[in-house]
Amino acid sequence: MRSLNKYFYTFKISISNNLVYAWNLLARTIFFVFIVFVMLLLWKNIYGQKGEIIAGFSLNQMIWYLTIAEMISLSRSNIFSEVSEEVKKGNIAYTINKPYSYVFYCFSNSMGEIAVRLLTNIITALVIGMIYVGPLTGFKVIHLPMVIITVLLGICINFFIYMLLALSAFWLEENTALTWIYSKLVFTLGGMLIPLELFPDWLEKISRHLPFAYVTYAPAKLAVAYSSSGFINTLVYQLGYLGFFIAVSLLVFRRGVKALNVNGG
Amino acid sequence: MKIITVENLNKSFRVKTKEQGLRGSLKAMLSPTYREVQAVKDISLEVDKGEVLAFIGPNGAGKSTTIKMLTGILQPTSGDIRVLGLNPAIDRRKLSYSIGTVFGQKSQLWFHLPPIDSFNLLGRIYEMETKALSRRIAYLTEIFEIEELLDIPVRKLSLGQRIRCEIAASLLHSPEIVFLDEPTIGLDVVVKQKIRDLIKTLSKESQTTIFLTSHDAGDIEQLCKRAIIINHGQIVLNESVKNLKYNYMNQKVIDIKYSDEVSVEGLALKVLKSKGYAIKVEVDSSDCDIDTVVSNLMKLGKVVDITISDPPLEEIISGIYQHNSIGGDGLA
Repeated sequence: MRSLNKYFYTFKISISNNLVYAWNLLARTIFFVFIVFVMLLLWKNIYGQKGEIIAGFSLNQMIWYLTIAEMISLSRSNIFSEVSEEVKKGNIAYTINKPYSYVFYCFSNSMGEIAVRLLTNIITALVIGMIYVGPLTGFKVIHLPMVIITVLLGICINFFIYMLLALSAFWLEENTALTWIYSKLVFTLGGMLIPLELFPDWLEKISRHLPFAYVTYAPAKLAVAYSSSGFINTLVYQLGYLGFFIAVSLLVFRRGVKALNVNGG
Repeated sequence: MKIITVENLNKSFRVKTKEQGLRGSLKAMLSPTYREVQAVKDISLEVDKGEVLAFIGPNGAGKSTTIKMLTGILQPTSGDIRVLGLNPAIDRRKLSYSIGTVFGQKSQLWFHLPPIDSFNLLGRIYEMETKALSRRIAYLTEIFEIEELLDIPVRKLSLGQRIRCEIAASLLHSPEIVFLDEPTIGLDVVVKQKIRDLIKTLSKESQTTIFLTSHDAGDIEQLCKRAIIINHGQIVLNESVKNLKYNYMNQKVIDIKYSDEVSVEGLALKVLKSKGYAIKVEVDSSDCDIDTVVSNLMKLGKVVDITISDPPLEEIISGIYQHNSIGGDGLA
């Protein structure tokens, strides 16, 4: 019990620590409002020319879908740059000599940061959606718990992928390109630009098997068009990918520590 | 009882090298070249329970690398380490419950939060009971005199205040061994003295084994019974501080400024510098009394300023080398 308590306490402390950065959050919120506004202009135009429904989405659903996908993507921590820097500068030597699992310590720490961001992003998302296109049509409160579960799982998968990319710093001197590529993959194959339904058939099929879709696309799609089969399918993929990325992160971390060369002194 | 034993410890790093200029950069991209750097060479040492050991050497001598191997952060290239009966490289996590570390230049406290939050978190990380933790916090805040600092965000603390909190933080879980890596670096004289007193109290009251690295000769003189000096990754000297002081740290440098010009002629002193108003002399405290020298110097004229200092560690080490090579040639 006590061995889990340390992670929960880290999470709590991290929340207090992140409340210090309230102004930082506000700046992000402004960006969020603006990006969805640009998407609104774009899609209003497209719907004006193509009709009421595109790939099964009404304009109302489309904007809510994009808002929720954006909300998930923005609710991430700085874990990549923090861990990469720690490894590159050798400071990791001072953080790994405590009786905890470093990977899960970072996870609890990040979750504190993410909790604060997610909360403000949820409020922002609700306000944006309501103002831009009104209440989400066909939404039932009873589906909310399932949607929340998939949103949280998406956030966790996102965390462990960033963690894994950050740990590459044990071997690579410069690893920022990896996160750039990853974030663009989530943006495209994760359906943040357009839903997967608008892809050509073959690309849609491939994307539905890749992890990127389960970070943003799947939870956002469930929120605007819920189905039990969709939920089960999403849950299976998410748990599978989460387990996979946790296992690989732990393994890579263990290997990395063995290869650790700390300079200086 | 031996609490730390190290036998024939070696650590070498592979460092990427690059020839100068753009041509060198391109070449390094195509066929990277490496050089082996041996940070620690064949070190063997033992530490007794409750001992306060100084591990000293100039920057880059291999002190931190050795500490990192002793705490399990780095894997030795070869050699054997036992700390509290464990092999740190294998049992890092198990060992971490019984050791504490303070790295002078690195903080383990949360920057934006008051120290008490970090203390509570560390208590959880070390799986302490809530009651035991609050008792321990109360005890440590008292001896470290940090009651007033507990609720101030760490970023607002001065370096001296922060270091006191750092050391207290590393002692929360009552470790058997504490590794202090340059705990007094960057501190002013008064705060340094305070930290030294605290370390002294600590070792006396709780029988904690202290492994201290420093390049400040003062730390060693006051705190430790035994010192190990390392340079270029090798042990240069391993002996009691008493002997070290007597044999190698007996030089004092006296800087003295007068209001008028004075002459040092006739005093049997080694004058390093003499500019009329200001004089710098070196005194060997093993064959003459500092007290007498200073009072003789005072008699020369009206003194404006006087400082007595230890020569830097680098000089002491070069003194040891000279001594050893002379000894080896059988001239001494």
